[in-house]
Amino acid sequence: MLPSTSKYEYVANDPQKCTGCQLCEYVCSYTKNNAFNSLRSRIRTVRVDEILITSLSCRTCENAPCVIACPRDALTQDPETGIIRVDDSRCDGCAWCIEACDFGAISINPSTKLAEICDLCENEEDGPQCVKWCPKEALELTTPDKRGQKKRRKLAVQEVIGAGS
Amino acid sequence: MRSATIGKAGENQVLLANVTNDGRQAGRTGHGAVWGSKKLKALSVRGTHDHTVANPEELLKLCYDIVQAAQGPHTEKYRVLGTVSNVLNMNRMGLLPTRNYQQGTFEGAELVSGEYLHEHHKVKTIACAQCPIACEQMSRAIDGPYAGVMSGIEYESLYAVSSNCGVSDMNAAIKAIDICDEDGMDTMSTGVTIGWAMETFERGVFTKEDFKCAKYPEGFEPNFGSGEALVTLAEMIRDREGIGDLLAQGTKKASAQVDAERGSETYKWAMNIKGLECPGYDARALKTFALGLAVGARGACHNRSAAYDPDIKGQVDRFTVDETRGELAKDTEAYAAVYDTLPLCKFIRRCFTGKADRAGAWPAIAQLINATTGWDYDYDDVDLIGTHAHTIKKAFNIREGWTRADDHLPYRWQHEPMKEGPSAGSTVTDEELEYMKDLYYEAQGWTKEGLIPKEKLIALGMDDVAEEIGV
Repeated sequence: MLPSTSKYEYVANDPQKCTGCQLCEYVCSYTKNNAFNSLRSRIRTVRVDEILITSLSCRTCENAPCVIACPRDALTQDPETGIIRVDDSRCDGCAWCIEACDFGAISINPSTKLAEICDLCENEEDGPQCVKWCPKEALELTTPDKRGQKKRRKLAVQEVIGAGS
Repeated sequence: MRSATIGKAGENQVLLANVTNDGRQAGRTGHGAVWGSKKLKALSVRGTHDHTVANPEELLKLCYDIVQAAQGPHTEKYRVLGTVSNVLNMNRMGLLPTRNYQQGTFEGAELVSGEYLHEHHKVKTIACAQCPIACEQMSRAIDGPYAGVMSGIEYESLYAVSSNCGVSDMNAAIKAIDICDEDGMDTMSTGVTIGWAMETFERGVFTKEDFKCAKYPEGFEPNFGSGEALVTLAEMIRDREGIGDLLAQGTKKASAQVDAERGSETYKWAMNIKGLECPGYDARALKTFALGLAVGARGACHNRSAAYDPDIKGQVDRFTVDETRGELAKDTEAYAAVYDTLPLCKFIRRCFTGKADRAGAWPAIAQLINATTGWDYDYDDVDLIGTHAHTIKKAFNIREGWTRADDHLPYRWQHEPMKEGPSAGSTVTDEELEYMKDLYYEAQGWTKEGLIPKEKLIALGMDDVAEEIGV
């Protein structure tokens, strides 16, 4: 089966709102490692140019290529949430998962040399900490379907009531 | 990987050159030229180690509240229009430097205002690293020869290249700022130096002949208001082409050279203090700020002295002087030094408790320092950061031989009363300036000559500094 990003929730970024402040990276790094290190963040901001700024983290693909690519079966996917879990005892940091990921959403932790993937802060009561901290509400936990719905509603409001309302 | 770089201007050792990192500039005083002279093009850093703090949970809790407060009314000015909202505010008060500080109001102010920029040119607001406010207004030139050029526009850049050069075309202003930002020049000093060149031309000391260049082999006429002259001169300064070689020295050295060669008196409109070009406030009608700038350790810098605050807020009468000004100038200077030393951006200053003064900010800053380091800082310790920082800057100047006479104002601010607008008639007389300097040195505990006595340095625990400057 082909991989698909349509099913599960993930942390989406609205590039219109993202200012490139990187607070998400620092909060992620602290939440996961008790240390501030943007290279150990599981969400990464990307500054393509002065104004094209966004962030990327795990897109929770169905039939995730990273899981398929792992030669040591270190990666497994939660069928309910789509979250990819890394078994540290099996991962040897070969980075095949990084190569398989179409979104560049996986990285190797520079200290442990093992793969790290966003788990949507499944153990945090108030959900993904990057979403909680994003000062411009550019980040949200959502699905492609919900995003589509939101866009349709926005467009409908504009069509009916007039742009800018 | 992050890099701090110089551009063409630094490579050419233009004295207005700066150092850029992540699209923001360490802009003033020409250290880009120092890098250029050492053939140092860039410093690049890639850090992989973790940063740990003493009390992360406490720090995150404090920071979360600040991040939230930074989305509220305390930062609205910066978030919505950005610093460029100052254009119309300064114009209303008759303080907007216009045509090289000949006027305090600009008839084209609306066209170069923050409001106009927001409506016609703004593309996106972006943030410096880790900043929850995001104030930089990325803006694009929309028509004319510079259409498509984009740069981040700040008030201090904008006044310098627009009203101060009589230019009311926002597209040309964006282009001039873009040249400075891309090629590593201080927008403020560049704009003020071009303003000086325009006035020098209009007063007949420079002629069209002086402005020959590859683009205009017969020369051109740099009148106030010409966006094309503004842009061309910025490029010539960057490249040290033609008269750009003279202007690349800034107003102090350029005017001295011209006056020596031509017997002119262009120093009378060279708008600098200690060689650093003036910021976007006409300090003739901001008396406390005039003092703050005159005594400024690095010259006319609005970031190191916040003494415009009591003047503009109406805490004191901005048109007159009184015995409170020495203390006020001292206080705002040490206040700014606390933020600059930590460093914290001053735009966050009201987000701790809603009040920007020491009582509002210092206890909160002490909490941040303690959570980060595990130290036990209190109000007085935070306050001392500013005193130490400022004292060592002053000591540096003393070591380099600067005296009371170097705490000066531009000739124009002392000898030409403002001609028009809400601040008409304002000037800072010698008597006023010297009176305020006395008050300031006294408030600092310095001598009448503006020197730091040994006891003062020892009381601050700066014995090594006392030895270094030989007191």
